[in-house]
Parts: sequence; structure tokens; C-alpha cells
Amino acid sequence: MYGKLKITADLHVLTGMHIGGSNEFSAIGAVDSPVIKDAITQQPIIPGSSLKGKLRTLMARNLSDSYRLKEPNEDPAEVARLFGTSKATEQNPKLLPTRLQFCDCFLKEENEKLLKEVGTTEVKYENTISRMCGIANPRQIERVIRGTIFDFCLVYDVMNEQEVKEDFQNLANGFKLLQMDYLGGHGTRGYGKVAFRNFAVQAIESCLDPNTVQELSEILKEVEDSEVLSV
Amino acid sequence: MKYYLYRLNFLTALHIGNDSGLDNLASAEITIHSDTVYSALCTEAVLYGQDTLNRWVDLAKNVQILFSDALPFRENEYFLPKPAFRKQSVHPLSNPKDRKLMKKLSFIPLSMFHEYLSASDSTPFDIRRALSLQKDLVFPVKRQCVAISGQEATLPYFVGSVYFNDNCGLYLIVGAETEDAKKLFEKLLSSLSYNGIGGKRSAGLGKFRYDEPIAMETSKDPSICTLLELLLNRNADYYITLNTSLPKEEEMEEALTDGHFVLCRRGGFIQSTKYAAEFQKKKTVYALAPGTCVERTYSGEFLDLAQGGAHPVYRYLKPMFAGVNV
Repeated sequence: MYGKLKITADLHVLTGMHIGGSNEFSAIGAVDSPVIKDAITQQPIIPGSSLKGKLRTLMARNLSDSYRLKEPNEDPAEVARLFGTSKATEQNPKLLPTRLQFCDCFLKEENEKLLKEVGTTEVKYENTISRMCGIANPRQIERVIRGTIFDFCLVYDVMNEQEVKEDFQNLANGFKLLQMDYLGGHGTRGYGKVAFRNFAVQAIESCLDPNTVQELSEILKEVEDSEVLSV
Repeated sequence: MKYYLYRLNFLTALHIGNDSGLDNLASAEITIHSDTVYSALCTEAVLYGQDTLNRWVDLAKNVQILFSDALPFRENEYFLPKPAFRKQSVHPLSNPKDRKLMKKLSFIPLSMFHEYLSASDSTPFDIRRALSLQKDLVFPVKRQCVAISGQEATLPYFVGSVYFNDNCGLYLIVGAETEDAKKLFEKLLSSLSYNGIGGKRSAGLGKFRYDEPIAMETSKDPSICTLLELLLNRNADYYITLNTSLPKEEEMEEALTDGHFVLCRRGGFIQSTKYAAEFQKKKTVYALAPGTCVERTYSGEFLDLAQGGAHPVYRYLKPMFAGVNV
């Protein structure tokens, strides 16, 4: 029996976040590396592809038996069945459909009004200082300011009822790892710390009973307690 | 057949690759071909199990369900594909500027459709107004992405997509023979709206919501009435297709004699994890693009394109006609 679960949460940006956009158009005086923005509102977004890639990598790294990651198609079975494969391999002999459908994250409405007063992005100046002669080579990086909240949405396809809880447990682990890691670029210099809050699971087309949905929601709520950085 | 109109409002950007098949990922089209819509709903039906899939395939085989391409709308203005026939008065060849503008025009606004068809030297078609009505329906975006495999150097690539402007989106005209057919279609469409349509849907694109469908027969909206008149006109000089179709081989000659049409390439991948050990390309078919004008109607193909895989792979190419008198 098939079902669909919609997972929503508030994605809080705790430190300035830079997910690079394209700078095909570089006017004189424009910032070197802008962040990716919505074409209409010109407000920053978090692409679903960034979240998906980051979560998959972290989960694969966590469950992998070697330090060096293999090809995505050779991911551990728990990861491969969530994210899907495009080729049969020794590790995953069957082609697997993806169970997770990510969505681009847009600014939460209430916070958009607030941030209009200060803007949603800042430009941070950084320097590369030559060790030999001390000459500074400056660069500007645009980043989404801390305190910004995005609407996070993820759709989970129930393809095997027995595996739902395990999948959610794995997913929750992925979110926990992401909270300890970073989203976007320059993470080792303090950028892109994020936290998920207000997790909710809604059954769209469901064969699952409400208690199970509640349990799944509880599993994800645990993510909120493992936030390493509260600002 | 009862007709319904569904308005799809996109929540995220939409990626539909171009018809040429060249640099597909970086390209972005505005409309969605009807065979793509059918196949996308097919992949949803697979999730619900074999029974649902069989019912969905039977509906198409027996033409119990029929849909147009997903075409753009802006508020209450609906856009129709530009008819492929050439008329001297509509294509003022004497003026090269107008000729260029006419080339740029991809859609005819429904409110100007009769004006387009009845244009003459004394009452020429207002190309500039038609163009201004369809200005900025979408904003195209080329997103820079990067594949980080952890093994080799990072590999950048581009994904083309379009954002729909406020109050703009795509509409689908759906013809359903029975209430059951409509119900199944809605169930699959609702499911699809969460998973998304088009490319890169698991990475964030193609999510939409749709308004309550408009039952075209009972609608009082003048533009819906005009659209329904066109759909029901079976005594017309010309029939213009509103979707992507292909006559059966035996119908081909009769249908296309004195017809005007543009071919479009229909390719893509087989979105099935059971068909083969890795994703395979669908056998390419050239179909008649929407806007095809024929003097005689045809019933159209429902092709099985499987080539040695584990199950059939269908392409739904039955036509939806709008009858016009020129």
C-alpha cells in the first residue's frame, strides 16, 4: 500500500550562509560571489539540490565502512533506498526509486517583513594574506544573514511500510549530522550553521494510522534537541 | 466527453527540457507536452500499485481521458498554441519587422484568437498587443550546480528552469469520459503535485498546487465558453491540435494532406526502476507539435516503445482538437 508523508520544518540560519549563485553578470562594483536568489522576489533561496546532496553525503559518510566515499550508486542500502540509484551495482543489485522529494526552500513569510528593514543578505569582506610578503588579496562574499528562517518541505513516499520507521530514524540522523555540519560554502570558516525547528509530519495520502504518523513526528522532533549551536 | 480546466500554480521553478534534445538539462521550456503529462501521471500510478497502473493505461487506450498540453495562463487570459497554417494577412510578409515579430509569437491569447483567424488586409492582427499580453509570463533561470562525488574533482553543470510570474501558471484542459476517469486523474494529479513534474523534481523543482477544476460546460466565464465552443466544434474548416499527437500510420496520409504542422522530437528517459538494470532512453518519436492544423480529424497513436525491457513503455499521442472556421 502506498502513501505520502509531507515533512515540514523551519530551517533557521544560525551563522551567515553562502550558497553560491551565478555571477554571469558582473557589473563594476558588484559583489564577487553572490548567493543564489529567487528570480522574481530577488530574495535568497536554499535549493533542494543543496540540501539533498549534503544530506546524502553526510548519511553515506556516516554509514560507510571506509573513509573514502564510493560512487552514489554504491551507497549503503539504507541511504540508497531513500535517495534512489541510477544504476544497478554490486552493493545495490536492483535499481531503486527515490523515496524523498526535496523542495526548494523559500523565505518564511513573517520573517520576510522583518528582514526587509535590514535586508536578507550582507556582504562580508575577507582577505587572503600572503605568508611570504603579507600582501592582502581581498574578496567579498555575499551571505544570508543569521536569524533568517526558511520554509523547509520534504515529501516522503511510503513504498514499504516495514521500513518507514527505520527510514525516518536514518533521516533524523541525517538532519542531526547536518546541524553539526554546514550548508553551503566556507563552512570550516564558520559559515552555514543551520538548525531545524518545529518539525511536523502530515499524511497526505496515507495507509499509516495516525499513531504511527505521530511516532514518526516524534523521531524527527529529537533532531531539535541535538542542535549544537544556539544563537 | 466532459471537459474540465485545471490551473496549475507552481510553487518552485520548473525544468522542462527543450524539444531538440540538445543541451537538455541547461534548457527550459514553458509548456509541458501532453505525452509528458500522461507519463508523469503514469509514474505516480506505479506508486499506487499494478491495479491503478492498469486502470490508467486502459483509460488512455480507450481514450476515456484526454488532455491538452499544459499551456500558460495569466489571470483570466488563456494562451493557445500558434496555429501552424500560413495566411498572407496574418503573416504580413511585406513588412520584415512584423515578420520577425510573428516568429517570436509562440502563443495566441484566447481573447484574440478569433481576431487572429479572421485577420485580413483591412483588419490586420495586432501582433504587438498579442506579444505584450504574453510578456514576462515566466522568468528563465540558469542555475549553477556542482556534483561532488567525493572521488573525482567536482563537476559543475547547469540546470535551466523557469519561474512563473505572479498570477501566471499552466492550464490543462482535461476531457474525461466518465466520473471514474476524472477521479483517477485527480488522484494522480494530486500525488504528482507533491512529488513535482519535470526534471530535477527530487532536487527541489516542479512542485505545484492546482485550483478547484473548472467544469467547462457549466462555467459562465466567457473565455471558458469560447474555449469549449472550439473543443466541441465538429463542423469546422480546420482542426487545430491543442496537444502533442501523431496520426496512426494508416491515418497519416489522409490526415496530413493539406495539413500544416511542425514536428517535435519526443525523447527522454524511461522513469522506471523495473524496466532494466539502469535507466534507459526512450525510443525517440517525432510527433506533431500543438498548433497542427488539419482538415480531417484523426484518432492518434498510443505507442508501446519498449525495446526488450521488462514491461511496456507507452507514449500517449491522441489528439485534442479545437475546430475553427476560417
